[in-house]
Amino acid sequence: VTAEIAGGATPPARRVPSLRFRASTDGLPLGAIFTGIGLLLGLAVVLLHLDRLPFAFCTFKALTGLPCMTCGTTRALGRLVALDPVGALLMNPLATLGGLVLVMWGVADLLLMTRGRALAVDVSPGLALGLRVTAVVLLLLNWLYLLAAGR
Amino acid sequence: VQVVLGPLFVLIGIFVGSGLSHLGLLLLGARQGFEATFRVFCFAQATALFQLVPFCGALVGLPYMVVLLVVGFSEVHAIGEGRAYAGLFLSIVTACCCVVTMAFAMGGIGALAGLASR
Repeated sequence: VTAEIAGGATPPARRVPSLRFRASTDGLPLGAIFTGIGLLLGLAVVLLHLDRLPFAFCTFKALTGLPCMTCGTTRALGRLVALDPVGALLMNPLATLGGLVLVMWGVADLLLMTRGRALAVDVSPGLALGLRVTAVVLLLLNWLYLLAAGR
Repeated sequence: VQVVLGPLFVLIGIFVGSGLSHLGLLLLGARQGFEATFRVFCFAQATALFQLVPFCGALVGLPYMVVLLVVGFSEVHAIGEGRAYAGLFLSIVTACCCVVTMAFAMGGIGALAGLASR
């Protein structure tokens, strides 16, 4: 206001990094869809005993002898379905936390679906960059853990 | 069993594939939502028609699908083709290698079981 009175240009509004959850009327219930797929995969892991196979399916591990970024995810999924969250966290922390967040997203979507809505997340550009950097750091830290734990 | 469950598996595969690709693209600056990535992924599945040609169909279809995905992702997300390729590659390297290998292994086990039952 002072700048306008003084005849100068209006200073640009300061953008605060923000994360906003809202109930969208036109979006897909992605959380519910991916949670359903995750449950199906979990059932397949438990029924086919895919987490107790005597050999590894991982191409990276077969070639290098080292675990890849997602090694242990199948075993973590098997432990989650068997209601052993601690065992799942020790197997692959990031995959387990991602799975738990997905379940919460799915539950929220299921609750909102009764009103014909789906959960949507709006991220400001400033925060999006921070989230990207955080995701890369978390991936690398998780990989270091997997290497140290010998998954 | 495949006739009944095949469409479900295809649907799940498309959702999982486009979800992983979208995560990779988000890390590299994708600007549109999941629906845009999902749409591109669905259109690119048209190259599955090449699989009708025995033996060499996949050799043509898979690289062409990668080309379509890269061009589609770069257009809808307004990012360069290099970033689009990197996002796709990132999702394949970080997550899909295990899934793809598992799918091939399960298919192989199924084929072996089918041969053994004859």
